[in-house]
Amino acid sequence: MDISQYLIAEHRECDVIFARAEKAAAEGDFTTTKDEFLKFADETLHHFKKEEEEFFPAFEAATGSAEGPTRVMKYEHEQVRGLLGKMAQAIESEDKDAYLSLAESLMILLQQHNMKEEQMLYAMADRLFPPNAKEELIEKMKKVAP
Amino acid sequence: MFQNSGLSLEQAPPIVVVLRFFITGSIFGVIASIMLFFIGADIANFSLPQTIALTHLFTLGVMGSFMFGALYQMLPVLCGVHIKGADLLALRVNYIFIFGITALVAAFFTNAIVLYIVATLFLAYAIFFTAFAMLGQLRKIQHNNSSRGMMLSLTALIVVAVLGITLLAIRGGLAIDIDYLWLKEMHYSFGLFGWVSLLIISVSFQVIEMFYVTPSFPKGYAKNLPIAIIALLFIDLFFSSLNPQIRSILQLLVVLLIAFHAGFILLRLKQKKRPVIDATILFWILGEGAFIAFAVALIATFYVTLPPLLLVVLFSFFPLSVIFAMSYKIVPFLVWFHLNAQGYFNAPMMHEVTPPSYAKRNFYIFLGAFVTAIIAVFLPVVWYLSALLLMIAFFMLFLNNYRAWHKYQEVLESGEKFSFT
Ligand SMILES: [Fe+2]
Ligand SMILES: [Fe+2]
Repeated sequence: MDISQYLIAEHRECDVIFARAEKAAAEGDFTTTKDEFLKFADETLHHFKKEEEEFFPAFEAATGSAEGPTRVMKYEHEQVRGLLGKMAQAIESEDKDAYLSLAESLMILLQQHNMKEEQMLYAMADRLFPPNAKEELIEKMKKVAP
Repeated sequence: MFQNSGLSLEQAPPIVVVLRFFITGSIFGVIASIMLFFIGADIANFSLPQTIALTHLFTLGVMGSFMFGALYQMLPVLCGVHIKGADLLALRVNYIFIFGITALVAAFFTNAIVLYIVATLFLAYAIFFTAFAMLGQLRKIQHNNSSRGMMLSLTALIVVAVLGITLLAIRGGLAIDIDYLWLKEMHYSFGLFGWVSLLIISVSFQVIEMFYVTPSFPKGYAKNLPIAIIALLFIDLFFSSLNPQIRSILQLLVVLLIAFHAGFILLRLKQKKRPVIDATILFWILGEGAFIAFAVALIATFYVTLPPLLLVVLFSFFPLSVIFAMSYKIVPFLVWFHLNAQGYFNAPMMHEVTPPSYAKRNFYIFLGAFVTAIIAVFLPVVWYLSALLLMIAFFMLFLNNYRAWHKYQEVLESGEKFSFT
């Protein structure tokens, strides 16, 4: 399996859960919003952890650069983490407008982040890593605790 | 720092660059609408100087300004293109561009040779300088779905400018042995189907997926569609003078390709995972729908006679609508994004910059301008109403961009900043 295949599937999965939370929020159903949002946050943070603990170090080793792309990706993860916190607050106070507005910012931020990963980092990893290293890395990512 | 990675946040240009061009573009929209109000029914006469001036206010003034703003923003962030000294360059280009357009419009009205020369110099500088600077950088990167189409769109813009300058020279009295009408048709064809349409197509490859969370466009399709369109346009440019029959066939093919993509965008929007329908989606639907209607009307002209003005109206609302769609998404996002990234606690949320209801109201007024413009084709007195609605629509867009800029400055001056030390 290619690295991109594995990680892109996770991006898409998060998108679906996010959309369910947003739909519930738009309908004013905060119980469902909360459930789906928590699932979304867990999945997203788990995915970030896989990237930060396994994928980025492997990528840095292969490309020989510790700053550059991966540094920006980590910085964007931080921004997403900050937004997730604010969205949780909006759910607590059942503030629909705030939730939808934050959700909008989060989605744009996350989508452009994912797009850069998919088109550049993952694509590069697919080309650079030898097949057995790919399998190994995916196995390692699967073992990362949530 | 790492110019080749293409992923640096430091490469995101200051927000004022984008807002400056967007504000300029929306003011040109207001001015163009006012001019439309005074032209009224005369708009059906395409060779009048005021109609030509109006066309250029919409294309260069509105489209051009929004294109520069969007490209300065998107090239670094989405395509990893680093434009050296982008903010200063953009500032200079902005002023020169405004001056050039003003001179051009004045030239059409007065036919004064000196104005033709001034307009040529200023516009040539702004367009060639920016286009070549961006193309030079775009050549070096690894292409994604959007960047190749943007290159081709900029290439088409250069062709448009060269043809336009030649036209100006002929108007200015220079004896050049080229068929003026043919040249003019090529100028329009490259402008509308090359530059404008290709730009929208290539932008759509990224933003539809990104903003609305839709399935992405197939890679091979995204790569080859812009190439096919530009290839057809060049074949047209080089061979149509040999056989005029080829003209209409080539042009129809180009229009069909663009219409196919318009349909594809509508399909993607239907497949979007996010349930919320905001004003920007409505603007996309209206714009792409207008192009499909344009294509249908064009095919219909093979069988029935339709007023050419109807085709012009249908086509015009395609890029104009997309401009609104892009602005209402990008502007509030950038204000929040830039302030948040700088660590301001009180960075305004997107809906605090632009309330969704405001954008929706703007859409319905714009829709009103579209519907009345179509009625006006058959009932010219309605042009006054249509122009008025269009003016209000652009003024609302201007107000939103201006207030966004104002809010940004306000937080910069008074905001509480998170300290990293
Ligand atoms: Fe990531
Ligand atoms: Fe990721």
